[in-house]
Amino acid sequence: MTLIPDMPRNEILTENLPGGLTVILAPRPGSGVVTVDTWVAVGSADEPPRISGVSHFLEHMLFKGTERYGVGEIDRLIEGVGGLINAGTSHDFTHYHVTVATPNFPTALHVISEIVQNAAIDKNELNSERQVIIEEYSIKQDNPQGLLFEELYERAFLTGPYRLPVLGVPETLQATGRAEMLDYYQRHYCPERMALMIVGDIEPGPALEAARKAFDGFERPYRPLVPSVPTTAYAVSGEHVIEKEVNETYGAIALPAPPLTDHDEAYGLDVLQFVLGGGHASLLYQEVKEKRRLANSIHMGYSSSRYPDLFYVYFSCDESKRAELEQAVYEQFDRVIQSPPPPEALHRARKLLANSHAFSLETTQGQSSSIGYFYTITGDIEFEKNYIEGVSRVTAEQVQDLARKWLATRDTTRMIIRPKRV
Amino acid sequence: MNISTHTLSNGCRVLIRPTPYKQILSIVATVEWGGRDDPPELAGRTNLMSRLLTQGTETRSAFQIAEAMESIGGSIDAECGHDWISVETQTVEADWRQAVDLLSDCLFHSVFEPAEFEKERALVQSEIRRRDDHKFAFAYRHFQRLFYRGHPYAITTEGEEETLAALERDSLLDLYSQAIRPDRMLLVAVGNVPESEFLGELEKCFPQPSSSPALARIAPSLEPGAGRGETQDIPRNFEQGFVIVGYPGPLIGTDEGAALRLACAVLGEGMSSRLFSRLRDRDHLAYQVGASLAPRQLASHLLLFIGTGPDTVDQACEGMIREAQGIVAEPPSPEELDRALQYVLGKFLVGRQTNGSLAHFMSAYELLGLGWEWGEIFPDRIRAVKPSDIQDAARAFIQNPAIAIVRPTRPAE
Repeated sequence: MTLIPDMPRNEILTENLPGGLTVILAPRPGSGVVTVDTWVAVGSADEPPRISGVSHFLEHMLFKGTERYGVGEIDRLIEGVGGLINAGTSHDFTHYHVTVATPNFPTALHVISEIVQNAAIDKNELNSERQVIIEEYSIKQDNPQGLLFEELYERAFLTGPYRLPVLGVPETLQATGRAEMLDYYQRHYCPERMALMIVGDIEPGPALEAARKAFDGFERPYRPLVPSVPTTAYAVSGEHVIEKEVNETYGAIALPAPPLTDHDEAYGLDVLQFVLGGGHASLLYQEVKEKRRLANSIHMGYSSSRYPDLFYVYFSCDESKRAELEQAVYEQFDRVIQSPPPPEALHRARKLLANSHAFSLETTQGQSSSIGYFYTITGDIEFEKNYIEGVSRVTAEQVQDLARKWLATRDTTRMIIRPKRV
Repeated sequence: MNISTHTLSNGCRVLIRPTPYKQILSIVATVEWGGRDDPPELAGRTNLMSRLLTQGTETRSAFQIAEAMESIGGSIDAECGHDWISVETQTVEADWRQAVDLLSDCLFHSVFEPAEFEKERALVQSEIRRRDDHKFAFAYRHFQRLFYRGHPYAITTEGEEETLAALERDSLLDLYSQAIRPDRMLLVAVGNVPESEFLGELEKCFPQPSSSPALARIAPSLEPGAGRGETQDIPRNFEQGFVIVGYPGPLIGTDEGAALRLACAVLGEGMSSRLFSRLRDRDHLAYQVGASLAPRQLASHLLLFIGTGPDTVDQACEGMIREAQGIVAEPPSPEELDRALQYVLGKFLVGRQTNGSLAHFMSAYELLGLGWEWGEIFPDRIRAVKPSDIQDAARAFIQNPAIAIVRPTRPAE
């Protein structure tokens, strides 16, 4: 099949610095901007349950000053040169990224290297920031989708590293003091667990030299990660309903999904996901939303993760149609289980998936996120490099086999938020 | 930059901007007719008509349109704003012929099948219900109604459930035949297309305009901002409150527009802005706080917003008003101003990395009356703003706000 060529990127270069930090360079001549993005392979899955939310809390604290810079100075340094700075935390990772015009690359690199090596984690600032995170927690409680997924993960897993929410809850945030956070930071933010991405309008040689200098002497002992709750056990089939002041029903049907260990299986699962629920011509969209008009919105989700995770079908609907909708979702699963997708459906899914991936690389931050994410999960730079080709190799039989293996169970967790009955 | 401009024989204006090495093609077709042109009793008509453009033509069903686009890994989407309608495609450059074919099919050969009409209407009604489940959207809808009372911007482009229920298919067909005409259209293509072949294909696929007169837009009789000086308190069972404080804004291309753009950044854009550093970092009132200046054809507005706990709603509201007025009383320091300038320019640069965003910006600049070249001029216009300009603009616009407060009610036992 004709796929988009390896579009906006040139060769990707990697180097391991003496302390263990991996540097990944993706030059994009002429783009005029550069993204500096540090990925730390630690997230909520690695937290002791007592201080659940500490990874995300720590992410906030890295912006609250270092040994050298006071509160607010980091933001001013970056924004003073027109840069955009932000961060993200998930189950498996935390990352910090800055995008600037090319001439300001040294400032971006300096700030990123400073915060990941020398965060101050001031006690007073920590106590103040806790309030801000509690407000962030409230935003999620008010958002039907946010709440739905938080509850879904808690109910779908009996035990496991992904059961607890990334943000934590007010009680665990209260239990997180400076000593716990500092210990977590020093233990986990070691160079061997980090990758520094530099994507954009840079000369690889000088950029690498600048990275070496910025992280010169950065050494912390490597301690292997132990997931907070090493064993994953899924709940047996169940429906959980929350009634809330909402205008429609929001729901998710979830099934067990494997961790990303086998590359070919991962490419195949992404194609399976698109056959079923990616794009407007997918089975779920067409059958459940368009033809039978059971859902007002519907899509399928699955992300490649370090530990066993979930496939889910997310939908919104009128409560009166929900039972029929759930049945219709299983019928679409059965279609793929019973016969491989026809050539045009397979072609559409592969092409849409490959191009969506290629289009996401159009910005320096998009490319940095894509490489950083897959490198952090797999530890293998080749996985992302080969993504488009890997997807194009997936066969209809593979898709069917994966559907048989993962979508045949009816031991699903159904999480529902529906309008309160008056 | 090699931007070329053309006018097809049917009157459609075309801008082509090549982007070397990218291999992605974004096309945005816009028509200067939007939600603000709907009479109040037909609110949502233009939006529903726009959405139906991709839901079936004389030769393709909705499924066939989706399948044809997705089989080349592309997308086609229609959107309706207050001021204009846009239909956008994104594909690989090599597939430009299919993109033009599908785009012209959707634009000029839509059939508005009765079943699709009913289905899409129900879907929009459902989106309206879900919109109100989201705090920002819920608060903004109330703010819009208050601030723009009596003005066409008061109603969201989707309309309301009741106005949608009253819409008839014939009314959409009428609007379609009169509004979606090549002689009212602007088409912006960003990507490397073979220019003469591309233009030839557009000539072939896009029809000649009908001889009937095009719809005329009626200018609203009222200036925006009728609700200034008023506060609306909306109780709702949320965990957190939400406050929007809004002021009128000047037209984007004016000197005052540039000055207020910087004032907005000083106030609430970025983590070193006043609202963020004071109300979030110092007072710990919020996670989400900021400011934005919305560009519109008729008038913009400056919005300050904050999500805060149930017990700090009034404190947060007062804090935002104090900071807004403080732009006059406490003029930005040179460092603050430089930070705001760099922030605006940085955001501008980073926000224009994709072909899709370039196509959107160029279309918007044209439709806002600034000309597509505005993107090239904007940085110098912003750099030319003096501190006294910000003071003057703040004095003229930052007073007498309209305020919408979503106040959490305690859940009933």
